[in-house]
Amino acid sequence: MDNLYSLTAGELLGLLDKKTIKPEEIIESVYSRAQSVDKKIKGYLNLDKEKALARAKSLPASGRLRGIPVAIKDNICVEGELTTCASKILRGFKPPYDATVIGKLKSEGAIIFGKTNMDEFAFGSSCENSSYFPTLNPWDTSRIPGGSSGGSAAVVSADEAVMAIGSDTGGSIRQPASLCGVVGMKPTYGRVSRYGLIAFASSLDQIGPFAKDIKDAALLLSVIAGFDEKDSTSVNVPVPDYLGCLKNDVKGMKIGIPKEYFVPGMDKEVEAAAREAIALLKGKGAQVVDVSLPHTEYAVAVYYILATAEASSNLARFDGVQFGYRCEDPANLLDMYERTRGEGFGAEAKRRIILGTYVLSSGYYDAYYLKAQKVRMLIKNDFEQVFKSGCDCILTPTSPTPAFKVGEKSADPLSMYLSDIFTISVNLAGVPALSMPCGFTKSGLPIGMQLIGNFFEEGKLFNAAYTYESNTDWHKRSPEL
Amino acid sequence: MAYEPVIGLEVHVQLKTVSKMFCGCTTEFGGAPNSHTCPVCLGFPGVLPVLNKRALTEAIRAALAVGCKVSGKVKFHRKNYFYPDLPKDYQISQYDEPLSEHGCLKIKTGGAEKTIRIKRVHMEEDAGKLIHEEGGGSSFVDFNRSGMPLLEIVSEPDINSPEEAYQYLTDLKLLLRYLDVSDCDMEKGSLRCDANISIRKKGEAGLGTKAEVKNMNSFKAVKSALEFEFERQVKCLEAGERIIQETRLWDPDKGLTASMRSKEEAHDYRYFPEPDLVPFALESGLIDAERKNLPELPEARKARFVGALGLPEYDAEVLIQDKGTADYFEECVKFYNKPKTVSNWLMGDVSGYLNAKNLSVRDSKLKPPGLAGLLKEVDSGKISGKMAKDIIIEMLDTGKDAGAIISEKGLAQISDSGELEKFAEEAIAENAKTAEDFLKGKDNALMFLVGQVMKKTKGKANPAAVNKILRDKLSK
Amino acid sequence: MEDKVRYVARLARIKLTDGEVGLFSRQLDGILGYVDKLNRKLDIQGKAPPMSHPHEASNSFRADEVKPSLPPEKVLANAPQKKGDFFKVPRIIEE
Repeated sequence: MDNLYSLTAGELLGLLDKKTIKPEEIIESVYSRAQSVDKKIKGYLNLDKEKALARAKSLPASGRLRGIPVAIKDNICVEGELTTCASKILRGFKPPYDATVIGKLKSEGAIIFGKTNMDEFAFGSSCENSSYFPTLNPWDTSRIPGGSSGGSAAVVSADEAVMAIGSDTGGSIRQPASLCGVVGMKPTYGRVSRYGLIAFASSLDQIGPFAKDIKDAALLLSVIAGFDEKDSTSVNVPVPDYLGCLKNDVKGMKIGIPKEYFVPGMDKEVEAAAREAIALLKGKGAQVVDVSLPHTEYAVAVYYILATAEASSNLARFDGVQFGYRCEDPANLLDMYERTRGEGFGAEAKRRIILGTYVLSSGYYDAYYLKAQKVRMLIKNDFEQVFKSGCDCILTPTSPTPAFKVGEKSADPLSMYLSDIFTISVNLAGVPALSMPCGFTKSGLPIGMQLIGNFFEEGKLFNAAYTYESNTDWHKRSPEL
Repeated sequence: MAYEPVIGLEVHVQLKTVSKMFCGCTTEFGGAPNSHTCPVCLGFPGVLPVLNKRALTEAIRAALAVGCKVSGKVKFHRKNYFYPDLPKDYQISQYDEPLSEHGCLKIKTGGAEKTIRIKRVHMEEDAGKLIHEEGGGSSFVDFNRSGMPLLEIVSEPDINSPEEAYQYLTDLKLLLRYLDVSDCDMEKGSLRCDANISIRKKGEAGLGTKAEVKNMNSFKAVKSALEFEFERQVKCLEAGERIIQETRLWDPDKGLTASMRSKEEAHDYRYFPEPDLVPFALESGLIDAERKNLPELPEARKARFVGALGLPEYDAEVLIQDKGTADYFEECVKFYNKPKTVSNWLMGDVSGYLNAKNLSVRDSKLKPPGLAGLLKEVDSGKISGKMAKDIIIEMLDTGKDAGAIISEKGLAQISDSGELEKFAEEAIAENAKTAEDFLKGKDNALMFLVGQVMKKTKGKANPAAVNKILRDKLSK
Repeated sequence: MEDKVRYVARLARIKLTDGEVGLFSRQLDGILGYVDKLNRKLDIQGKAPPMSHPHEASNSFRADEVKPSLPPEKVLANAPQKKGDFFKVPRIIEE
């Protein structure tokens, strides 16, 4: 078979089961696809065919992802493999250990397949903040793929990977999934171990799956989810059978539509696609109700205070002492610190560290950080109210616009920050949400919708998403490359 | 004008766990540089801390022992500052909600008791160690100490003399060692102390500008540094100068404190809640359980030694100074119920021997049943007290029991009157003049005859028995 | 604002060019003006406690057990500069 690269993991596992194909053939196929299209997309930072083939030849006897190549965002540690967060300050860094999710993937037979590009330290929504090069949108290479996990979204969209892992702090999985026309999920905070994820904002970060369809996303989440004794913030709640949640049936399911996410002035095509999706689910028996998340308008402000504050501290360790970049010929210690960090971090990283340091600094803590923590509670309460009222999930657009042009927002950080307006609240509350394709613009750009669930109810999201997917064929479209 | 110092002490002790506070690396002292490190305590990208349960329970025990109110909630903060020995460039510590607050320690000073209030006791992680190249342009970092569990004990400024500071440290150390939560070994860095000192006119209540004094490597150094600093501040004020709020380092060689830096960067640690550790409530009952499990503390033990065992204050005070010695003492008393006798031997011959060899009583080969056995032999008259003094040295050297040494060396006292009578008659016959002197009323003469018998028996005769036999014979 | 940016950059140990100071000052002004809506528009007196975490009150511990440390070559493999088993840094001078 010569089009293995275009298949889903579910399809490939079926073929492997029947011994129709061998794992090496998958690697060969996906690798040669990447060889031919990644010149245009630039989704990978590193891709080593020989290592992947070697892994394919020494797989464990069984495993839920046995033989499936999975691309990894460059902020997740893989032992002995370059892991740089797409930053100059971590050039050459090879972690001495595997992230917990990497360990889980390996033990289920997945083949770690390349590191994907991202905004430096996950700071961005366009993948333009990579210190290497920007990744481009497979549907229109003059546009951005979204970010920060833009590389992971793009390589799955362009069939350069069967599935991928990303991280989501304010929408970094869902927004690029939406803009690239693939499925992406941010699980409940604490559902997946963060051990080995190079932290951006510890109280918001979650690792999650990218996939070509809902079934693959459910499969990948079921492999990486679970309590980890190395992560005190992971939660000891059993992992349900997500594949068992894939029912084409939403009868009786109550779906909330928050009025704050459908506002005048929003992109008409995006709004129309979301409204049609609502109508479809209603037609399949779901009960659709209007709900309110009244503190939504404060989410971006809260987020940019809390996330940058945590980041300013998390990124302090990149100081040129134990690992990573160190400036040349420092005159003394202070000079080493200041030049290493001044030269090693890109503009957006510096901007966020400055902002985060500012909001924590003496005299400003109460006005910014403490206040933001209080409003965060209000935002979480908003979601709890909606779920308490009986909603099973909430449906919104994922991003207010389809993919924008390269360079369009890079001069104005605030407008870039506002492109996360529909995804950020979910991280603040800690609840799970997924993005899936729900249409295309007239010009052929993918549109995504977001399904938000209650804590640890990823299963309900898969159920609703699977129903929608089973009655549409957006996910079957591929970009022409 | 009389001034008095106002002193508050910040004491850091390393908790006695086998693994570090947030990772599984060993807490063993020493080791090749960076050999006791892992991605977590090296602050590598992507790692996360997980709290050592034992560090928490030990911290709670210590907090309870100094009478602190332990909060039901545990919350960590990050203290942010850049330094090469701090791998993450922030320290995981506690801030606005410490583990415990409002305790006190009673100390004895000049015969009177004084209460030093304790402001807070909280947990934090230690940093690594920096070694500066001799005269060179580089420093070297060893992270073996990074992530060691520390307890910070902060006193209120209730200490009013260097002697009180010394006593506070001595009593605090004793207490912590009783709890077995720390070795409190300043040489190994498991106890460190910084002091805040200001001065005021005696009788005034306000607080002056304080200086922070660091780099004191022993309790004596703390005392000397505070003595110096007190004098310096008094001279300063008397010369009409102002005290500057600053950090000063004690220089033990020169015997003075010197300002660490004149242009110290303003501290702006940007504390915020540690997002990698979830604030959590202590499981209910944990605090009470730890309180119940507290051992008898030094003061209570001393009172019991005096009250129930009838020891003099002085003996009790000496014995409780080391928990091992006090435990040993009690063990001996179980086998031999004359506390004062045991105390005499422990404080005398035994401690003399151990001190000379720099051993602790726990390491000694002489075990409590052995000492008790020896004392029983003395009581039974089998050996004399003087013989016992020799025997105990051998017991300490070899660990043999008293009975074995006595029979091996044929050291048993001769109390058999038939044998002693024979020697007594010989002595009288050989010293007829002395015998006459005794009969004339010279009591001393009898002692000479006793000595002669002792000589003949090579010291093995029971002196009391000899005395009686001689009297009997002479008065016949 | 420029003074604040310089102060904060020093705290964060980041060397900025004068150009960056100017740019970041303007951008920070804009961002702070935006986030200040929390203070301008929202009165939350007593309405909400601060939230530092999605799931407070669930914690896991480690047992006090020694686990193997990292082999020395791995400890120092990424070090920009080392000497023997030590990480090496430039001299620390107090300015």
